[in-house]
Amino acid sequence: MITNDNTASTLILFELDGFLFALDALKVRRLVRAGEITPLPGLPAGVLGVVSVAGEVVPVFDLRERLRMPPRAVRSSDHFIIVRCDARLVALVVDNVTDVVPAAEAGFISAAEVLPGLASVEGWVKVNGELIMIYDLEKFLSMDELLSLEKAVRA
Amino acid sequence: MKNWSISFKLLCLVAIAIAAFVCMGLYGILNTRSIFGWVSEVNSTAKDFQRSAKEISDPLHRVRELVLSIVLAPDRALREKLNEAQAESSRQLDAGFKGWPVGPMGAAERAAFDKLRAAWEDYKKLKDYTVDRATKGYREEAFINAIDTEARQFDSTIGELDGWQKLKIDAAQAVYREADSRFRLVVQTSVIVTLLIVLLVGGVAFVIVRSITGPIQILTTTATRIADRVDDTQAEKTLEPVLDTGGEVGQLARGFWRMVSTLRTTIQNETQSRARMDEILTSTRAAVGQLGSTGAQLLASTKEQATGAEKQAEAVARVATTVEQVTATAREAAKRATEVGKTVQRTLKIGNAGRKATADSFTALNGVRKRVEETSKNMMALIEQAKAISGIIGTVDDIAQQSHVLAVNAAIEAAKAKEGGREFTIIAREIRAMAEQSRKGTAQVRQILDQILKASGAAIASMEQVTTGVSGAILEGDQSSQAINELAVALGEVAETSAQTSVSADQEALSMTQISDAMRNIDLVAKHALLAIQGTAQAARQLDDLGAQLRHLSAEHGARQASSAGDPPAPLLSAAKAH
Repeated sequence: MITNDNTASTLILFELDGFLFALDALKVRRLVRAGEITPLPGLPAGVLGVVSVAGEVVPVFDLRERLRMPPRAVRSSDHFIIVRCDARLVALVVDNVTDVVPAAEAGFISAAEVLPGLASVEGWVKVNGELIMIYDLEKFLSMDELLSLEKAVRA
Repeated sequence: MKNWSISFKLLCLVAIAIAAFVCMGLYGILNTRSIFGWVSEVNSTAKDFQRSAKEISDPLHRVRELVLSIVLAPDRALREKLNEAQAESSRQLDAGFKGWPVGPMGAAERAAFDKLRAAWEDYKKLKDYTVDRATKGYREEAFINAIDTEARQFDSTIGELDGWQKLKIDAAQAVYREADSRFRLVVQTSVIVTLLIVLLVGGVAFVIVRSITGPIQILTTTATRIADRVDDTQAEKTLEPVLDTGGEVGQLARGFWRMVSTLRTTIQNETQSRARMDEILTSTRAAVGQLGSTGAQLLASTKEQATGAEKQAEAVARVATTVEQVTATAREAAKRATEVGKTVQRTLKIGNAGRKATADSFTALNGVRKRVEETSKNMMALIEQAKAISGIIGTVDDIAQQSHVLAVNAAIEAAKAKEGGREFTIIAREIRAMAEQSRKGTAQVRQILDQILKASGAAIASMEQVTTGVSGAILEGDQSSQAINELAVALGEVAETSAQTSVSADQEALSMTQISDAMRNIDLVAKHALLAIQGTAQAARQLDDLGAQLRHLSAEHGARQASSAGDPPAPLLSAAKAH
């Protein structure tokens, strides 16, 4: 979820079922502890509902379904990462945020060098000797879904 | 000028430069045009020269040559032919003079041209005379005229031609000089104007750059002061003149102002959560102290129990030995009926001792039961305290989680602030490390509490066993006491009817076997009780160890906190702690 021109200065590392992922810190609005999710009718698959963050209604995305991980209900120990995606805020459910590291310390490996044609994978970074996959957020949450989401939230 | 945005200022600068260079270009074009005019003038002079050579100079020389040829020609036919050619050239020369454009000529040139034409007219007359003489046969006269009068007139005509051409060359040279001086003037003017433009544009650029860098320098100074000491409220006053400024620099200043406010709020929150954690740690330490004293109390009472149980075991062993002696004696009594009387007396004594021993063990067992019940109560209190600590640890865990989230958010804000947030990134990392440390600490405490609860459960279970064993022993003791009483009665009867000893000897032996069985039971129960008490003692020791461990952990945590408060890792953090 690094930007295309690879200008991210800081990466946020988060955990899902023991796997580490990275996110550009500049796209992150803030981190909050998991709260109660309000369900809405007509939401697309992979969207659990909406939460209120600082007076704004924000849809909650289930990354587990995206990454084909076994499903699990949201726990009180989970966290919501509030990110800006195509000019609107969305919340991502993660187990925990493990670290915030400068991108300069993390060696970046572009996906194009390894396997051209991986649409939603931006590349990998190496943190403490561990390879972490980076997803392109805009491609990851496709435009169609964002549009149908827009309708559902406005309805 | 101060309220203009940077891009507008830069546009002005570029516009000034472009205007100056356009003026320079126009000046250059005008000068090039006038120089072009002079060049065309020189060009026309050159064309005149070519024409004068073709139409005047060449025919004149040809006429002279032909006239000389006529004079020298040997026969009449050749003279006629040459005369025709000479006449043709003369006509050509006349036409050239006639057709020469006199309009554009200056006064001096016109005078020179007229003189040339007059000289030609004179020469034509002399030449015609020479030709006339030659054609008519007076060759000597023609020859004299040709080399004398005509030759002089020809030289004078050539002289006039040279004078006229020299005038033309002079005019062209004048044009050249004018062009040369104009070129020098243009070069000088260009150099001076270029220097003036460079100075003007440089000056304007200097003023604009000063107006941009001034506020940025103020911003930098303020940022440095706030980075050194975040509670330096005086630092913001230096920012005030920049805050009202419009344009990008003003926006930057206002953004910086907002970032500093957010930073302050975050640090205050962190300080509050730290204070709360300190309170909880203090109460945890107190609870741990209480837990330690309870463990020590429990250990002491368990030791007492063990001593009592050992005493009981000794007494029971004594009773068992005595009973065996009684049995042996009873058997002997059956065999030796004659010595029954004496033996019965002794047996009575021994029976009394057995009764006393049973009563003793009864008292000891009651003591054991009482202590075990006390211990059980203490254990219950201990479990309650452990549960209370568990609740406190939950709160600490919650605060550690909140600190973690806070630290991550601070790190995100710092990342957005780029250069300005570098210092704060380090602080956010320290806060996160601290939250992680407290989370690990609470996990350790929780593990120890689980061990305490498990050990306490085991202790209560073994104490229940002790209580059951002791109750059983008391019941058995009652039975044996009754048996001994019965024996005493029987012995009394035996003493009276010593003669009938042989009959009652069997009965006695039976009773003794019963006593022996009862004593074995007592012994067994007492051993059970001892084992159970030993188990309790071990549990109590474990409890004491755990208490000591907890105390140590708590003291260590306190020391760590004290040491981290002692050293100043960063100005921001020390300011937060002083609060």
